[in-house]
Order: sequence, then structure tokens, then C-alpha cells
Amino acid sequence: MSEISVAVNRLTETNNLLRLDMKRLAAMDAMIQDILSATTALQSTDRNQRTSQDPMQALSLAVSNLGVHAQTIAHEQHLLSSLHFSMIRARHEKIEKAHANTYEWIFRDSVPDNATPIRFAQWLEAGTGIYWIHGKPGCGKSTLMKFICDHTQTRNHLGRWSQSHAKSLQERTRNITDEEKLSYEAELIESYYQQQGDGTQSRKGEIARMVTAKYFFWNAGSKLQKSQEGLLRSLVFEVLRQCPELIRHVRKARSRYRGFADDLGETGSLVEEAPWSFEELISTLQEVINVRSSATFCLFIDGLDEYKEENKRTYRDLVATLNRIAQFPNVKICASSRPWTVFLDAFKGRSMYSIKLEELTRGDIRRFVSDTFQEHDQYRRLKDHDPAYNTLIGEVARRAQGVFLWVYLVVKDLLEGLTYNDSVQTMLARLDQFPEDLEDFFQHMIESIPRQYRHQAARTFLVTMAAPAPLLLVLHSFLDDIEANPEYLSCRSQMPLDISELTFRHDRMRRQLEGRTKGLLEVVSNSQATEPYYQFRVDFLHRTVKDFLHSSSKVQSFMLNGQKDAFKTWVLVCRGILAEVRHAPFKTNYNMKLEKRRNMQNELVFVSPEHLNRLYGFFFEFVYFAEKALHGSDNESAMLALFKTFERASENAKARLNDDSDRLPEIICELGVLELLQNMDYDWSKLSSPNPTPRSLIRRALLSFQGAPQQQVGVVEYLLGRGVDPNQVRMENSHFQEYMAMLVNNKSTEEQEEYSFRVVAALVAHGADLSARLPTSRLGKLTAQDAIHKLFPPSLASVILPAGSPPTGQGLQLHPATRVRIRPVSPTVVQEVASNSPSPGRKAALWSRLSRIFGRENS
Amino acid sequence: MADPFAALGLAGNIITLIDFTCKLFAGAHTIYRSHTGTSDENAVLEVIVRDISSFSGAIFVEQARSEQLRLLAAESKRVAEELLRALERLKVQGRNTRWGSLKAALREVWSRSEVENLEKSLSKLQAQVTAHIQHLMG
Repeated sequence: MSEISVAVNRLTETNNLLRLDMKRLAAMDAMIQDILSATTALQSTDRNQRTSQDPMQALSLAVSNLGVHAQTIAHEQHLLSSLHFSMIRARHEKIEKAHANTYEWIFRDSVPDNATPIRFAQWLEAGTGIYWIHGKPGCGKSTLMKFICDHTQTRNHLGRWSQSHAKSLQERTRNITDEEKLSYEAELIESYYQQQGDGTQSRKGEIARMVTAKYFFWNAGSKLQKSQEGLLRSLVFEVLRQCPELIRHVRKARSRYRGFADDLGETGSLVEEAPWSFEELISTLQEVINVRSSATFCLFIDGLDEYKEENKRTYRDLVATLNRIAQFPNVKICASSRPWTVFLDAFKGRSMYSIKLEELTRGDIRRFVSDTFQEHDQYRRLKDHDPAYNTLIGEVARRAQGVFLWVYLVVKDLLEGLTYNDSVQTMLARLDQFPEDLEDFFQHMIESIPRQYRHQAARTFLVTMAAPAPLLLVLHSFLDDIEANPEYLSCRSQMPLDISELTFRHDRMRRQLEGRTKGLLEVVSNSQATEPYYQFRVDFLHRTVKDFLHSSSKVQSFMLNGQKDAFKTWVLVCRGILAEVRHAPFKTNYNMKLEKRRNMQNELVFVSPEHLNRLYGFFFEFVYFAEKALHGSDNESAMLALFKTFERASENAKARLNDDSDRLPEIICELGVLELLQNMDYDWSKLSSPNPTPRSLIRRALLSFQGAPQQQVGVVEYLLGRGVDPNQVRMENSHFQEYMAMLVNNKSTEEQEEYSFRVVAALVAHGADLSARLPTSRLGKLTAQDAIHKLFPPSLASVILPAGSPPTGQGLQLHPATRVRIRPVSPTVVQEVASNSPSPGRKAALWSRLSRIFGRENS
Repeated sequence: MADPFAALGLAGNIITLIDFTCKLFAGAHTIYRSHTGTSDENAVLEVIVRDISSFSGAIFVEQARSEQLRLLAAESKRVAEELLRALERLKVQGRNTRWGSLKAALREVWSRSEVENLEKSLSKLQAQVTAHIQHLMG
């Protein structure tokens, strides 16, 4: 395999991962053929007579076509990858599909038993702003949203909106500004196709006129899945995926925003994409919508209530964000949530476009119950014998009160009874026993878990609740084995599971989960996984299940009785992840020919991004649970010994994947787990070398939002002590500049302020350059010193800064010192921080004194 | 850390420069006359110099991923420099003769062997870059 075909393979693989259009890659194959035939022709002309065509020119053209085309694709993929995250579609795939012939009413005027106008089709075709679907927990909002997103009628209605939008825009082109906008748009598209190298103007028609994007918040998912960043990243990703011609524009805007040279990445190699900030994401989305003013954008956003408030970003802010986007005439948003006051105030009062779902689904529920019973052979037989069975259907539907989830669980339970030939009376009596309230029903299910399963059930619930994102099914099966046999890990070598054992494990675990959790946890399949090992994860049946497990005191005591010592559970999970890494099917996709050439050109080896992503996922999970195990336990040494074993296993896996990244220490820095960092086998001299590693550890620690802030301080200090230079420049800015810019750009809480002060103090103590200018576009060019004055009250700023350094920036807004009340600082502390003080003992004393300073007056 | 496509693009730019120069040698510069619409031979030279410089300027040696390609890039830039120096001398001489080809023109400032050497370098470069592209493509 040659260098180019390796690179083409990589582009193809990434294309699949990002679900991009494959047509553009096919064009690349044609270009490769052109080059090959031109080189052949050129070499034969030396001996034979010259052909009529000009092979030199053909070669030069074909080569530059391929170069430009491939680089465009690579740049596009690069930008899209920076927006993509591994769980981006997980929630959507997990949602139950609508039962046949249900929800069809959404496109009609009203339902038979309720006169409330629905107006959804009307809104799709001619409405504006936000259409709000609300309803109580478990009434089927997400299923309806999925139904809407996937339905052809939605596209048809939107198509009409898109047409009328284009028409009205044409009428208004007399207006100068629109004309300018349109010609700008045309120019943008033109330049895109010129850049593509194929120059065919006729392809202009393929430019998307109608863009739809969807996002499903998932409270039980990863941090991104329930944040505004996740929402915006996903929306920007979807929009750019459908309008690739805008990517170049976004790249340029991005480098301007971050203060880079304008032509970043247009030639030469790819630089690492910086992480996206919230403001940058929203301005990108607005910009894209504005630039493509002739196109229409319809966004579907499910589960606003699953959003998690953090960093002072409340539900009110989420609503404000949606309103900011929905104000464009070419944008509309369909959103769903529980009927919380904040959403009622925002959407219900202001617009006629909203429905209350549980009032509209009575017919759907009856149909679902009836169809599900009818499918059951035993039911059909019994019904013919005794028509009284029919009353069962009506009774279930009546009691449901619009909660689909309740119906789903009740029907499942009743059908089990049918197998034992329960009489109608028995079944109605069983139905009577089911609590009509959903939470009481969950409690009922948990109590029905057989006693001998309770220990494992409690552990499974505990682990699933604590996980940062749903864990693999195979991990749960390892947990059982390791718990049953502590020697399990020591007697197994590092070998991928063969497919028969994996299938056996999946099958066994699936059954055990069902018995153990009564279906409250379910197995979710990921259609994008190509390896069966990664295909299944364990997740909550429904958001309400997670809420219930977290809030119910009865459940808490159930779990604590089952699992006396949570710490042991976290260590067990870490051991399970170790087994996961040992048995994962890590491999590279290169062929034998390539293997032979590896010694010459080491970088040729092609690694599948899927395996690497999974390996990094295991790293993250391990560090995450190790952190839980380390804190609040006295058994630190056992955990650290386990970490050493894990480190060896991960080195082995990395070798198999030809991966030489520092991903494990990076994740440790991101999550701020100092104990693991101190115990790593790591070449610390790399940190102080003049050539910074591609992704440096200190940036991970400084710019991470993952770990607890107090742990971040320890990690940053440790790295500085290991010789990291805070002024080291990467991607135009030094570590210190990037960190200060992030502090200035983000709102922080008082608690965060305290820790960010300690981080800044540590950086300054290690010689950070206070006169450095910060890469912030909103505030003009601040110096780091100005930023310190802005961020911290004078009493603190004077601790860090040398004497007599007042703010220099004009119109600088200083810190409202009243916000934090601080005792006067003693001059010795000032002196000590300012001097480059470094014995560890003295430093510890210094920090404890600084912490005392932070003691609030009322404490 | 240049990507392989950048390396390929570099090879492509070298080919473009060589192709252009070879065509000038073979007499293609007459096209320039009709393009520029001038009979002033120095003005035509001016345009040729500009074009060669821009083709040569598009070759970024640092995009090479292998020593071999780096040498080829450097060599092609060297050949371009040599040619440009000769053309500058020709311009300074300012004789307004119409040449049949660039090769003939160069004979005004170069010896026969110097012209032949340049031609040899060009065809050698062409063969090497073509082979290199084939190697890259596999």
C-alpha cells in the first residue's frame, strides 16, 4: 500500500465515521486513475512516438486536481471532526420507534376525541419561530420527535416552506442588501467548486436549499449530551455536513476569531483544531444561517428538560439561545420538553404553536395495547374462548393517563401472565396491583427482583448510575466474572475474545440483566460500531428510571444493602475495564505488503479511528472510576497497583494500534487525578523539551472542564514542578495566554474563581509573562496583567502581581471587589508568591496560607 | 508533519514548472506574443519571467515528506533560478530580435553546452518526478 492509498483509506474511514457524502471520495478515485494513466503515458513516450495528447500537462493537471481536492476534503473532515463527539447519535438511536400507525395525527388538524388544533403541518409550511411539544414524563415525547424527524411528510411540508422562502427572496432582491448577500453567497459556492478542482458549474444545483438538523438531549448520557455545547456542536456539525461549501468560510472565520493568520491551513499541513467555545459555536451557527440566507433551516431539539444546568448556564439561558437562533426568518425550531414553568413561560404564552402530548395519544395507546395483545398467540386463543378478555385492553388504556412508558411496562408484564393461562379475573386483579403512578410502579418492579439477584442488581444499578456514559455490555459480563473469581484477571493473557465467546457473553449478560433489573436497564445497540465487541451498551430504559433511582430513598437503601462498600465497586469497575482493554479486538487494517515497508517509513501504518476511539474511551472510563475509588478510601495502594497493571495493558494495546499518543496522561490531566499522574511511567523530560508534544499535558489540565477545580490546581502545580514552561507557545499562543483568555471569556462561579486564582498564582510563580497579550476578540487586546486586574479583586491581584503594576488597558472593567470579601493579605505571602519559591515543603505551607486567606468572613 | 497530499501537490507543482519550461523551449513562447498583444520582445520576456517565478514560488520545499522529494524540489528551483538569471541578462541586452524559441533566445547569452545542460537537467527532473509520483501512488 502506498502513502497515497493509505491517506485515501484514512479519508474514507473518517468519511464513514462522520457520515459524510461518499460521492466526493469517488471523484478522488477517478483523479488517481488519471494520474496513473498519465505517468504510464509519459514513461512510454521516452521509447515510443509521442501521442497526440500532452501527457505532461495531463499529469500536472491531474496531480494538482487530486492534491487540491484531497486537501479540501481533509480540511473539511478536520473541522467536522472537531465538532463531532462519539455519542452524537447515540440517543437518537436508543429511542423506541413509534408503534405502527401511531402519531399519524400530528400532520392532521386535530384528533377525533379532542378538538384542540394541532397546527403542526401549518407551522412546517408557513409558520415561524418555535413549535413546542410538551407532556409529562414517559408520555412519548422523544418517540414522537424521532417519528417527526424521520417522516417523509415532514420533508414535504418543509419543502414547500423552502420554495416559498426562495420565491419571496427573489421578489425582494431589488433590495440592495439582499442582493449583496445573494451575490456573496454565489461567490462562496463558486469558490468552493473552483477549489474542488472539477470546476463543473452545473453542480451548483446540488447545493442544499433545505437543511434539517436534530438534537436529542440525554440526561443519562455523557456531559456533552446534556450541555448547550453538545447541542450547538451537533447542530453546527449537521448544518456543515449538509453544506460543505461553508466549511472554508467557517475555517477562516475561526482563525480570525482566534487571532491567527487569515490563511491558516490553506496550504501545507493541518494544525490541531482548538476546542470550540460556547460563544464561538453560537456565532458560527448564526453566521452560517445568515450567509446562506436563501436556504431554510429546520432544527429539531428533543428533551430541553434533560439539559443540565452548569457554569451558571440555566434553563433560561437555554431558552434564550433557542430564541437567538429562531429569530432568523429562515430558521424554525421544533422543541420538546416537560411542561416546566420556565418553558411554559417562554413558549406557551407567546405562540399558538404548541401541543400537550398526553391529551392527544389516547387512540395511539389503545392501538398499541390492542396490537400487542393480538400478536400474542395465547391471547388470540383465549379471546375466542372468552370475549371478556377484550375488556382488558380498554382497562389498560383507561388507566394509562397518557403515559406510554407505563403502558409498555404493564403490557409486558401482563403478557407474561398470559403464558400461564391466567384467567381474565386474574389478569384484571394483577392490573389492579400495578400502581398507576410511574414512580410507584418502578418501586413495585424493584421490589419484585428475586432476593438471590439483589446483590448483583444493586451493583449493576450503582455502576450504571455512576458511569460518565453508558458502559459496554461486555464490561458488565467481566464484572460478574471478576467478582465471582478474584483470580480471573491474573490467569488470563492479553488476547482478543473469539467471536463465539463474545456472543456467549453478550447473550448471557442480556438475559441476566433482564432478570436482575426487570427491564429497567436495557441493552442498546450502536449501528455504527463495526466490531461486535463495541456494539452493545447498557443504558436506562428511560430518563424517568434514572431520575427515580437517583431520588428514591427506598432505592438508595436497596442499593446500599446490596453493596455495602461503594468503594469496592469502583475498584471492581476499574478491574473490569482492565479486562476490557486486554480482550478488545484491537488491530490495524494494514496488509502484509505494508508490514514489510514499516521499517522504512514508520508513519505509513493505517490505524482505524474506531479502535483508537474505543481505547481512549477505556482510558477515560478507567481514570474516571479510579478517581472515585481513590477519594474517600483508605485503600489507595491497591488502586495504584491496579493502575500500574492497567498502564502495562494500555501500553500493549497502544503498541498493537501503533499509537504513540499521550492520551492516558492527557485524560488524567483533564480529569485532574494527581495520584495517578504521580505514579505514571512517563518520560517527564518531554515536558521541558523545546519541541512541545502535539497535545501538551498542561493545556489539557488548564483548559479542561471535566475535573473538579480543586484537583486541577494540584495537577497544574505538579506539571509546573516537572519543568513545564508556562510561556511555551503552541498554536500561536502560550499556555498562560490561552488559560487567561479562557478565564476572561467564561463566566465563573465564586468557587471556580478561588481555584482559578490559585492556578494563575502558580503560573506566575513559575515565570509566566505578565505583559503577554491575550487572544480575545471581544475585549480588544488585553495583557495578562490587565486580565488579572479584571478577574480578581485588588487584594488578590496584588498578591500575584509585582508591586506598582496598575491596569493599563483603557476602559477596563475591573473586578467588582465586593463580590468576594477577603481579609487583608500579609506582605510576607505577597513576597513568597512573587519570589520563585520552590521547595515542596515551603510551597505546601504557602498554599495552606493562601487557602486560609480564602476563608470567607462568615466561616 | 506535512500530509501526503501536500507532498503530492508539491510534486505536481514541480511537474507544472518543468512542463511550462519545456514548452517554452519547444517554441510555445510565441503564444505569449499573441496573448500579450505586443511586439515588444522585452515585454514578452517580462511576462515569461513573471510566470516562471510564480511557478517556482509555488514550490515549497518544506512540504516534502522524503529526502528524495526535497532534493527534487530544490533542484527544480535551482534550474528555475538559473533560467531566470539568463532571461534577466537577455532583457538587459535589450535586443529586440524575434526568436523562434526560448532555446534560440538563450543561445544569445549562453554557450551551446550550457543550453544542453539545462535541457538535460529538465528531462532528468521530469523522469525523476514522474517516477516519484508513481512511487507515491503505489
